[in-house]
Amino acid sequence: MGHECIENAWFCQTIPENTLSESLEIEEGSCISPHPWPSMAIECGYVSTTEEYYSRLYDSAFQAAQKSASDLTQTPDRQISHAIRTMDDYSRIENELTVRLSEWLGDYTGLSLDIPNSLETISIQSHHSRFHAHIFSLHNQLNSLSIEREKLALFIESEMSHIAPNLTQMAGPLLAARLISIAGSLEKLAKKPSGTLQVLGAENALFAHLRGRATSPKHGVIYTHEYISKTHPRLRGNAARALSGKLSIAARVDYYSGTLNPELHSDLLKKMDQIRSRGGNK
Amino acid sequence: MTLFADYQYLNIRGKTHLVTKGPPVYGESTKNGWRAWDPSRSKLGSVITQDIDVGLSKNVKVLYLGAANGTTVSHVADVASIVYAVEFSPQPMRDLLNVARSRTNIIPLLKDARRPETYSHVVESNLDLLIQDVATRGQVKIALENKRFLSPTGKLFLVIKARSENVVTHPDLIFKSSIEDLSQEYAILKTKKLTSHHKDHLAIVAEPLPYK
Repeated sequence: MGHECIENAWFCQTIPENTLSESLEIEEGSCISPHPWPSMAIECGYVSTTEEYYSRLYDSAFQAAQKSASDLTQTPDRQISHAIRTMDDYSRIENELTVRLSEWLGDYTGLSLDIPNSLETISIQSHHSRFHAHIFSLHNQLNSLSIEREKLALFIESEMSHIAPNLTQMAGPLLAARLISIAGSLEKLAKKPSGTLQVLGAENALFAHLRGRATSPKHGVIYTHEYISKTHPRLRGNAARALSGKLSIAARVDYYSGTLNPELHSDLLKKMDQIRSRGGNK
Repeated sequence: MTLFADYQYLNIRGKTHLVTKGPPVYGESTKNGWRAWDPSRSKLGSVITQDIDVGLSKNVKVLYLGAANGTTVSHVADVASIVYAVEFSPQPMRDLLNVARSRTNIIPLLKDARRPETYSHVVESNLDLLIQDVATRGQVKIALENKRFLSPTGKLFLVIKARSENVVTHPDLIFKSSIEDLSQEYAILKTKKLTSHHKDHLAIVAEPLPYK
């Protein structure tokens, strides 16, 4: 057994009895072909028994896997994806509870008033029924949900200019975060063609189209961008193509260089002016 | 049904299950330390319940590619002496690590099965069984590349997932070409289409051919 093989073994170049250095070697080392490592480890005196070998390997591999897994999931763009999804969950739940509260208040007061007025009406009643406290508690929960959602939005706004400056300048922080969250990460977004970015968030429509049951979607979540929603419907497909082209360039600049390039944004402005000047009535 | 078998069939609450012995992992039914191996959740389990010999027996050393959440890995580790469990994605790795916590014969590796040189410095040679269940393109290539870990008398258990190879091609065509490509370096012992629980999957048991 030549020495050139054993030099590549995970246990060879490490500080003896040091799980940290062994796990680093497991993460980063390599070797062309495998060898009977357990017997070689005993031969070179690293361990004295096979049991000891496997027990050390288990400890180091466990630590290595744990560390590499968390390195991959603790990136800022993944945290932002969770933040924007939480924000969307908050607003969905808020809507649901608001409908519930307004129905409850309607039945309770017998009047058709908006929520603040109904609450005022029942709070000045001298007689408080046993339902009273629960209605107010629901209202308080709703308020705190909406405060939380706003806090998250502010957080995303402040973070996004560091994570993806160009994409944020073009799309705005919330849309930029949403694109990253749908793609999975900034890296994945940067590697997607702009035609894919254009329809991110319109997956149902896209697959219906691919099965031949519908026309192709013009836009996904980028619809919320004013360049599309405020453009004449006939020109929206055109605008969506232009916008997604620039957005994917921005995502690539953000992922590979990370510095702000204002030229990108002015290019897009020019292009949008050109599209909009055609008017929608042709 | 012997009591000392590596895995066996056991009646738990009126239903016959394939079982292995070990600490429970995912809320499966258990009886006297034996835990049910659900064939609808595990392709390997499904093949074993169809009486196909996949080469899993006591004290074998296994390389498992595509370990995922560790559901099947946990049963393999109940039987085998050591399981090198390779998984590429960090989220299922978290679950796999939980399984490995109660089983010190699982060596978890966050590696890409398409690049065996990145774990050849850890995984030993001359293994008895290579289990491969990965959802990516080029599944046959992975099986060929990882042949280096198998002993000449070892076995390959491979699941070809047609939908990962190509969504538009008919699964049968993919299976046919996969078997052809695999035959260059493996002798195919048995193939079985998994229909009931795992759609568009082909299970293959094979032996490595000697290097030319």
